[in-house]
Amino acid sequence: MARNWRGKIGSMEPHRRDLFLAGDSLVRVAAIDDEGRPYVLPLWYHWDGEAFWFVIRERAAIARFMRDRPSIGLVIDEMEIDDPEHGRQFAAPKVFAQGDAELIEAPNVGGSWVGIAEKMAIRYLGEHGPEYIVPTLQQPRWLFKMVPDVLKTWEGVGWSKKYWVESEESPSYEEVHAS
Amino acid sequence: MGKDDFRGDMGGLSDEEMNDFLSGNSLARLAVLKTDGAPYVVPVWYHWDGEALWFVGRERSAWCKHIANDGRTAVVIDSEHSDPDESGQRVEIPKVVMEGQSEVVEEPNVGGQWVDIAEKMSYRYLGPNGPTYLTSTLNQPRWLIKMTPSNIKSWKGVGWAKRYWVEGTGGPSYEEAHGG
Repeated sequence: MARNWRGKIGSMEPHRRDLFLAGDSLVRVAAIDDEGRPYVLPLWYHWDGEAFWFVIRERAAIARFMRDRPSIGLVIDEMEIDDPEHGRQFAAPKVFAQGDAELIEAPNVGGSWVGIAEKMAIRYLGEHGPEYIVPTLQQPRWLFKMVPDVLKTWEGVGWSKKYWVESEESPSYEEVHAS
Repeated sequence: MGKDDFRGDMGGLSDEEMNDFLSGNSLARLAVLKTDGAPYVVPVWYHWDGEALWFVGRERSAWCKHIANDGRTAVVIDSEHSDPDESGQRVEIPKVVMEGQSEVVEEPNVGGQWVDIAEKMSYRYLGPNGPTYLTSTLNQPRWLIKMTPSNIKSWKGVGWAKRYWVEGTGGPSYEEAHGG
């Protein structure tokens, strides 16, 4: 396997996937709007090892789209993570998931979304995160859960071999990725 | 870092801020429709020419095939902060969302117009490694795709846009929560 500036190339072992998902990367969630067009936004997420959880403001259009048309797609990716102190080093990590969003709580104040929002605030804003979100805790939120039907992972900057088209004029996959 | 400065300046990006931000090296996350109607989102390099977004995709990439099948697309380009300008100013959490139709400008080919665009993108995204990476893959066929936005929205800062704030909940008002 090639190891150079491209990084290790291939899918992630589950422990490595969970290590990546425990960081502060955003998720980009794609849903379908009322006209049937795709719609995409960055959101915070919580990954519990089996499902993604989303806490969304009452008036955010994407929550309504997810309620009305539950099929969603998502990606969590970074160009690079270089945090050796916490054992987190990744080149171009990517996690893709497809599945149905399940409405757990309609917009409410004080529901079980609060505990998830606090966990997310620590991950995304740091140890004082839960203090920062106090002024917005009285704002109603939706709580959604998505258990992936499809979960694909990837790391490394090179091409997956299935994408490589071999031809006589061009270098082979191995030639390009060996150096 | 205090509560107030951590939120950054809020509201939409000015035209200048948007063009500056889009000329940086943030990825686009492109949402397309799969043949079964499900949405699918993928991180991609883009080139913004001031009016349209250009994407270069590998021959076997699923997202290109999905666009050839149905051109309805949406994209978000967002970052923790923009690159600092000459005076060191930067925009916190810039976010640009575009919706629009994408068209296939070139079917998978070697040596087409996509090469120039790929070269521009490789410098932006990979810096000194850009040309090295690209040269070794120039004989790999690529799609060239153009997305013309029909709707563009932008945000900055981590505060809430006022229209999202629900008053009368017993909690702080928008102004109280945002230190106004």
